[in-house]
Amino acid sequence: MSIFQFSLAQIPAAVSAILGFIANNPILCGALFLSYALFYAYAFIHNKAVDSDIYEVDLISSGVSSIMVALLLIGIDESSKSLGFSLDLGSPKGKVAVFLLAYAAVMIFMAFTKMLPGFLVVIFGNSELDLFVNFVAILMIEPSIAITGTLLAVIGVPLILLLAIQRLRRLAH
Amino acid sequence: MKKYHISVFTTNIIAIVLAVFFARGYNAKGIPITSISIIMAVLLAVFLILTAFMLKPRGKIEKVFPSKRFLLLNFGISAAIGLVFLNEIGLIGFFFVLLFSFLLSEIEHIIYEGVGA
Repeated sequence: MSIFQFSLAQIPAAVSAILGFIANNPILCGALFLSYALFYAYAFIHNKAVDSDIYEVDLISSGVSSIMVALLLIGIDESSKSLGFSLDLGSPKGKVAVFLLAYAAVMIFMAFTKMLPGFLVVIFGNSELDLFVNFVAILMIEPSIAITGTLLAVIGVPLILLLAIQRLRRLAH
Repeated sequence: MKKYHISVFTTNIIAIVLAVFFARGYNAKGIPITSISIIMAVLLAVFLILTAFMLKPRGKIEKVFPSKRFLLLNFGISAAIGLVFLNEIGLIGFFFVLLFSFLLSEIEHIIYEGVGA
């Protein structure tokens, strides 16, 4: 199955692959999820905070971390021992890296020019998207895990729900 | 505690996790992480300088680094987690974890500092 294919029948397998990965890496996955949990706990306590307290911060942060993840994804397929490295556009990692680099460039440009409307800042600069990008990037390193549309949906849908709940909670106040 | 503290602290942890996973992957495949580390360090340093000068006029960044205790806390966590995985990531991987987590959290600090948070 490719990255764009989704199958309901594959959901249990995708869930089990993710749970297996977490079980095999309890410290690192625990640290990753705890750091986001800490951020959510803060957001929960300080519910009155606006979606983007500081416009630039969310976008630049997303942009910088995306560039770094993209570079690491490019580098992991690199066999050359020289300082330079090449981009293989045929590989899934290469495609994701290009997408992340483009996304990062747009985010950083928007952060400095402040051209993006507020609601798009919330969509592109939110922690849920950041967690999605980071977690999928980590899964891509694991050779035993195939990145499929089903797997992405299993990770993405709960995060979209989380984003929606956060938004509704804030709108209610 | 401000959003700034939470943000810099969590960015440091996320950076550590990413760095360990990638360093482990590089190490397992026998790919040297030194070249990507150098490229990344240069890029992050350039970005750090650009951010510092673009977000606020020159000379208005009051604190280039977070407080000493906060820095030590972040560094201590990076070193502790890096040491736990030392066998899997190797010595260069360990230094990569320290460098990567420091630079990403420092960028987060500079952004907050730059926008006057």
